[in-house]
Amino acid sequence: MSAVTATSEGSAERHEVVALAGELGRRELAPHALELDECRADALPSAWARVAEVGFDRALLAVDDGGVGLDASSLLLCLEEIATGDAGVALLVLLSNAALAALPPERAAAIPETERWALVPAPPELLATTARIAASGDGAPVLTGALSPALGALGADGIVVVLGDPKPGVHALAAGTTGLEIDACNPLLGLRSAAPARISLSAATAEAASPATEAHAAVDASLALLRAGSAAIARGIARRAREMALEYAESRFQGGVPIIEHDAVREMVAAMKVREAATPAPLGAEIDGTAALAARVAATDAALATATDAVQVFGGTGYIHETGIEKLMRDAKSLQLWLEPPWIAHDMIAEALVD
Amino acid sequence: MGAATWSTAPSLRESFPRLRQLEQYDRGYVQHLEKHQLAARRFADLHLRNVALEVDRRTDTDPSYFDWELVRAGGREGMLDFLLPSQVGGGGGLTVECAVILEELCAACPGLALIFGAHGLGITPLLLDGPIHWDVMGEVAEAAQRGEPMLMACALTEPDAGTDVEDVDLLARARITSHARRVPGGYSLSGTKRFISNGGVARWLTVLMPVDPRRPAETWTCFLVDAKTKGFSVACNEHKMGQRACPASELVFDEVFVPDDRVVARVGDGAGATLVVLAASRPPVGAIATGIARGAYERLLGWLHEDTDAQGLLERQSVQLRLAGMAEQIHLARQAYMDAAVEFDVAALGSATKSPLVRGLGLVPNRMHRRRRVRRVMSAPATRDALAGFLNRATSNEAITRSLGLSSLAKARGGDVAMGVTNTALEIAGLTDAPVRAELQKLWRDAKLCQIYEGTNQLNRIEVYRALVARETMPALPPRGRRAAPAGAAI
Repeated sequence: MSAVTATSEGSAERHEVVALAGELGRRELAPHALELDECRADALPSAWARVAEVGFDRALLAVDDGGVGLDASSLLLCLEEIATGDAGVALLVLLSNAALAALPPERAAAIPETERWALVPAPPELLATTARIAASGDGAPVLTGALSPALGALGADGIVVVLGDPKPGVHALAAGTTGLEIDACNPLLGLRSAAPARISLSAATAEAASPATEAHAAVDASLALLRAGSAAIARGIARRAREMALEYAESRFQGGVPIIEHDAVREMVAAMKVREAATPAPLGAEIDGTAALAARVAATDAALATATDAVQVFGGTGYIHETGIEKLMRDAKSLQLWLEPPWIAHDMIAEALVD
Repeated sequence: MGAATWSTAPSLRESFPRLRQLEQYDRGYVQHLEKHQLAARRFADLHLRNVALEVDRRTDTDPSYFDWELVRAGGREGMLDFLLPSQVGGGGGLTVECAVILEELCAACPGLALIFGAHGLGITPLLLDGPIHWDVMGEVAEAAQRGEPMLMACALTEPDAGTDVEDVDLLARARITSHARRVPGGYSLSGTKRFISNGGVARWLTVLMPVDPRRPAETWTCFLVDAKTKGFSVACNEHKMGQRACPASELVFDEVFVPDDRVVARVGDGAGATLVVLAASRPPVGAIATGIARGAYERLLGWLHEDTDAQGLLERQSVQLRLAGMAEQIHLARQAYMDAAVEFDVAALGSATKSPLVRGLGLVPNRMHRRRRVRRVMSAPATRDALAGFLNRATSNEAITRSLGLSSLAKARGGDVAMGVTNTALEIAGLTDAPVRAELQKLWRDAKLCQIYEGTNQLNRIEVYRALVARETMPALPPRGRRAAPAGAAI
């Protein structure tokens, strides 16, 4: 598999990069999706090595900074493709790119290629239960508090914590920083390869990744990227679920005919395609706060509906782990709850509209 | 799972307001139901709730893990014999009792509850066969009461035929690969059954197979199989998404001999009997789903009231509206399963349970039913023909079809409610790191099965259409008079 090359919107290179991501998803990740879901010891290192080999883990960094200079829209299209193989790995790719993009270029460039970093969002609009970090100190920021669950943080070589009001900021902490502990926490339903962690900070001195005057913009940009990225990953889950459901429906017989001949199944499969069309990937200028948030809600809701129906098309077989379809349902539900569940997102969107 | 100290479990009269009116006419009946509800709630709180997550975790890594100690405790508390006829020492309960009990057990742990539900499903076909298998039912009741439970299971689904085997029309064209071949003195069963709840742990199984695989619908027949019979084996236990505490097994029948007196009803009566069994079993599935939804709702409420992390959420109108929606859905699902259960017990069974003949048979000591000569008479073709006639006098195809319609409605609605309520509960709780998340995640996984087993919701809704909208009459009752042996039934 060749390495990623820089692209621009609408370019032929973008098609090639997206095709490369599709190949990674279908050929390299999908065959190992169950092993990743079961958190088998060698599954993630092996998958991540393939991601890093192609350069998707630092795709947004400029070529001069050790990245591949991909634009955000292209990255989103790639995430969708990678998510058709494993949504958890796609989320790790998103978190890695978001973390490096939030750092000053020279700092990001200094991170060895062998390391995996993850962005840890902790804005105040998340349920109070997940955000307990407060920055203090006039010089280097000193962080104290706890946050759980932080997806993708377990096993990361460093984290970039995104804090919202009242003291917004983007702060980098390498694993091993005094006062920083990253431990395993209760697993989620899905996205198992992006294992969640409990982050404990006890007067941990961080690096300020963004100047105080640009803190708000940096936080907003990071969160928007995560939201747009999760919409893209949701699309990947939904597409995989639809493809698997259709393939099964054409091969499974009931009442003497393939079940795709039954209206109930046809309608479910058609509805999957309709949802897909109704939740296009947020690209270009749409990757801003409210639009990305709305796209995320729509796409994750759609992915959950599609994956749930896909299990239904499979019937009892779909309820069995080895089939791989129930994993997509669990991945979709976890993605829907990540960052902010839909009802909180609705509240945020309404507030933005009123403002 | 930890017991909620913020208690919200409703009383029987809160659950079913109509009972307040009914008890003005029959106080004893309401008290009888209340006794079952409270016994189940006590058992669930003492034995199921606190181990639910741990058993789920263990069965995730080892699908063959099975908690026999819990089953023994359930047997001692009456959870294994409430459906068995009082004539054999059981509780004499019917669909209503079964549904009320299962809602309680499922609010604590649907997976563990399914062990008791699947046991009931294994018993149900025998209840339709009069006293013919009272000897086995007596053994099952005694075993449960002395703490050495004999579980039962019903084996219907095949690797290539799931929903097909639950509908007569689909069954006729289904890819059935099992076969009950006529041999001297009985039948030889061969084939594979899949997704059989309790299949790998049951001592007795009611198994449905065709005597002529080319005509499955016409020759579909129920057999009572002793799991100790040569040729029977458990191929594997499935690794399920949820309801894991109750194993779903793949069963292999390799020339398993079943004597003539262990044929349930008559050869070829199986397709109709399946409809009756489904009319009886789907309201309890609606109750299982209602219990799952209730379990999620109660745990969420407990978290909202007690956890400081959830402080302020209850004041949010968005949360209040969602809680109201959950309460509304649970209430409607509960009324639907109760309507369906009453319809089956009263209208579909008709006068069968009150017949002087049935009551008279109850006067015969149970040990008599185990005598070879009595069994020979009981299982003779003439007795079976007489029983078919008796059922035709006691009830009708119209009554059973309507019952099936309401049962299918309750099952489909319940399954959707369980999925919807657990989805909403998780949305409100978000990714909180509090223990409630693990409990809600488990119930969400458990809920999905309710939309699939006992026929997918899609098939159930087709049956609602046929029974309640198109007002078809389905051929559920065995034909009156002597049934001609189907091809293949004769040696």
